[in-house]
Amino acid sequence: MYDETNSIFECDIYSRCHSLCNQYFSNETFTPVDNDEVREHCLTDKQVVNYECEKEDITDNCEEDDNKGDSGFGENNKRSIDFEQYYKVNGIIIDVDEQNKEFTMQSWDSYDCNVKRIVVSFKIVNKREYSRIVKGARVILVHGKLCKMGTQYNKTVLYIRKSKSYGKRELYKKRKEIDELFDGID
Amino acid sequence: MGLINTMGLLDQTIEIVVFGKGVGESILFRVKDDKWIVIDSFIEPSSKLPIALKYFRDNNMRIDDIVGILCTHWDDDHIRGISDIIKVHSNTLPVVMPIVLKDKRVREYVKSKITSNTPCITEFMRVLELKRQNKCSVFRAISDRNLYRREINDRTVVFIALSPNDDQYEDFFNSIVLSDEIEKKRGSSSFENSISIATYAETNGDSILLGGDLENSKNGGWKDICKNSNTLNKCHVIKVPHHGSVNAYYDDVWSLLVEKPIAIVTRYNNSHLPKKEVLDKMYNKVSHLFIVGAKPKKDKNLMQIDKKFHGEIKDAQILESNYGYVRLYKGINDTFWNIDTYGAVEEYMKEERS
Repeated sequence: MYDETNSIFECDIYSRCHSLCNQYFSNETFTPVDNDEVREHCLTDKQVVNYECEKEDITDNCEEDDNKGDSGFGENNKRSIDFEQYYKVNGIIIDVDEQNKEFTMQSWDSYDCNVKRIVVSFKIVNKREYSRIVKGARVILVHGKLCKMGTQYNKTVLYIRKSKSYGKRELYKKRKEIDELFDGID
Repeated sequence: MGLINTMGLLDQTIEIVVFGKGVGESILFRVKDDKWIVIDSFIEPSSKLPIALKYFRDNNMRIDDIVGILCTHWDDDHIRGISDIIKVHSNTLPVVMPIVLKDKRVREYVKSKITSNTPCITEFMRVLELKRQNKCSVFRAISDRNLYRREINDRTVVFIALSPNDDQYEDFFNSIVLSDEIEKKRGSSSFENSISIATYAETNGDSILLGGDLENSKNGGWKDICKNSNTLNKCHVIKVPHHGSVNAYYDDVWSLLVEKPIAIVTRYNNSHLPKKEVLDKMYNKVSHLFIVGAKPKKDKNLMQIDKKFHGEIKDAQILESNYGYVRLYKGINDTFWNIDTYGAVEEYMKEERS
């Protein structure tokens, strides 16, 4: 299930509004990972993305969104963006090559899931976005055809999840747990 | 996984099973007739069990025949499922690690690593919790420490830690920065490979060298082990250290081995290990060189898809999750080692090098 508290902010070579991912990566298709237990649960429910399977034709949503004035793009909420056809890969960044402005992404379910996993090297063009790319960041890589005001163009979009770092309060709690565990050792 | 040949186990003097998954390593070492030590662990993808438990289940072996667990170090690909094994065991299992739990620096180091939810730290905390519940007892391994020794009938079984030594242990904690700065070092090994436990196992003269993920370092590593190995027999089998990396290769290790030993290396696909240059160096010196765990394959389909989208994907590989194992055993009357393989195992052959 999509967890609103771990909302995704996008980082792509063209800069996109992240409401797109709210619209198209909710519930059935996106599997956020909060911790190992959640991930295992999601894997059991077969919500893992297989890069060969995620191909959808959702052209109809374009018109619907226009009517609703929904799915903003940038500040102009009247435009609607839609993937006509896309392939999607969930992953985690495992290596960053600063010299060549590349990163390597691996499907995040590589340890526990019996599906094919992918390592992709991806060239980053936008220097500003590059600063968001760090090892361990969870990403969704999407190749798709978009329609924008009736015009189709190809896009490759990378969505990066917010870093799964603990907040201060949770960090304090976790460190206290560790202290208790060590204190309990004879 | 089919049934192994359990007939005549009492006649077998030494047995070892090395599992690999592409990312993941685990070893079973038989210490007496039906008793085993588990060395490291990973989760088998389809059953979601630690691979040792799956092997035991598939071969109708008793979980309680596990007499101990050795965690060579706390990297993700070596420790997943350790707590699961402890939980299902009826007795209090001894668990051996390369660290001293009462050392305050260990506590601070673990706390500093907890800034994000890494699996290795989660697993470590589970083991500590099980220790608190008396489900396991934790011991430290240090070089030349006996981990297991038994005289059984006319057989002697010995299992000795070869590393880390005191200097390596101290160097490890002196070199890390115990502050928020450590967050910038994300991606490095959790409990560093320099204090990984390498072990020597012997049963009645037949011996095995298990390299863990021990890498070379200035105050220890393989240089130290080779210097202090006078009392050890030469080994017939080597589990190659650190997945066949260049950092863990040390020429003098061959002095610890018989001529033409059997070598087993587990893959670590994330870092494209083993390295071909290491395999080539080993090839002519061994009788068999097994690589365990599926290797990544080029993904042609994804590359074709990418062509439609302006070639932005530079390289795409499929990482297979399939696992495999090599089982070596030698009966009391056998001259040669018996070798069984299962699943994702390949033998590095001369033809592949050209």
